[in-house]
Amino acid sequence: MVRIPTPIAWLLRLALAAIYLIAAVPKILDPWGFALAIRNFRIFPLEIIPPLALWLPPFELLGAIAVVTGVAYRGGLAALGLLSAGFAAGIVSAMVRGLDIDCGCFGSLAKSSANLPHLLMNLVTAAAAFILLASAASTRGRRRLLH
Amino acid sequence: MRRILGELVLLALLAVAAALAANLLRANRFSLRLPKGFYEVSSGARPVLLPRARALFEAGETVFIDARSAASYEEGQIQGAFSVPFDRWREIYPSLSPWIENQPILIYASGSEVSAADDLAGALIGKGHHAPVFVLIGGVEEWREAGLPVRTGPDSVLSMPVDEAWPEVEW
Repeated sequence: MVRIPTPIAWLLRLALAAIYLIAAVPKILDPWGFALAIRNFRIFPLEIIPPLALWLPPFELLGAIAVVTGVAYRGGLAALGLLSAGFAAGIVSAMVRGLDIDCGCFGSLAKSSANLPHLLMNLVTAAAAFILLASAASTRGRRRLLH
Repeated sequence: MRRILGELVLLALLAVAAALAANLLRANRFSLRLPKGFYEVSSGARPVLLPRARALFEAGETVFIDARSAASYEEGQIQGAFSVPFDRWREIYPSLSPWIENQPILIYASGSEVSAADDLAGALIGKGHHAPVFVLIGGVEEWREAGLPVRTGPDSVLSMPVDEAWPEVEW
């Protein structure tokens, strides 16, 4: 059972949502640049990249909105946790293959290499999302037991 | 767990709808099929498709450069483009440099064959060009097919000394 004090939970929620809002907007405005960033990882077939570049940023944005508003809260946390874990896996894969590339984390807003600091950032955001999700699930379980 | 999965799928589907709606509202729609050449630009320049190139042309702030041979350039070039064949870029660079300093540049070649344009982009970026550098995917052929302005004949600017082409204004 995971219990997080409410103020800390709110801080984590706001931080997660802020990171993903800031990351999503430039990528929504510039899907061409995001398509190039995805391509640089050399993981996906070229045919998949355009739909992914178009869909992923709104998914980030909706996940952030869900986390901050509390509507579809658990789904939002799961989305942001899975996205962060996925990005972390992509960065590890690039590092292992020696690719010196822009991670595309914040679109054209800031050039950021797929390196250890960005890997850590994604691991921290994934951990925060999953801890909040576990806390929300256990809170719901306690409420059920009490009633 | 089922609720989490349900919400996750809902968000994913809403994201599909939001992505399509945002793309419909975009002036230059993002295509779900990008040409292969789009991914072949490796110089650090930004690949652009015709609608974006057209917008840059109409804004009038971007210098257009033709990386094909001088003969191909003379047969038809994007209006106002300079002729800088990649194999001659070093000799032309001193004349070109004052025109492109701190200016965004768009380099094009022929069709989806982007290597000449990409190589020239790499050379200019290597020379320390810090303003944005774009490489047009689709080349002058797509430009012409779209009915956008082209002209024929030699490059009348870079073929003359810089001080004649761009005379200093006396006040």
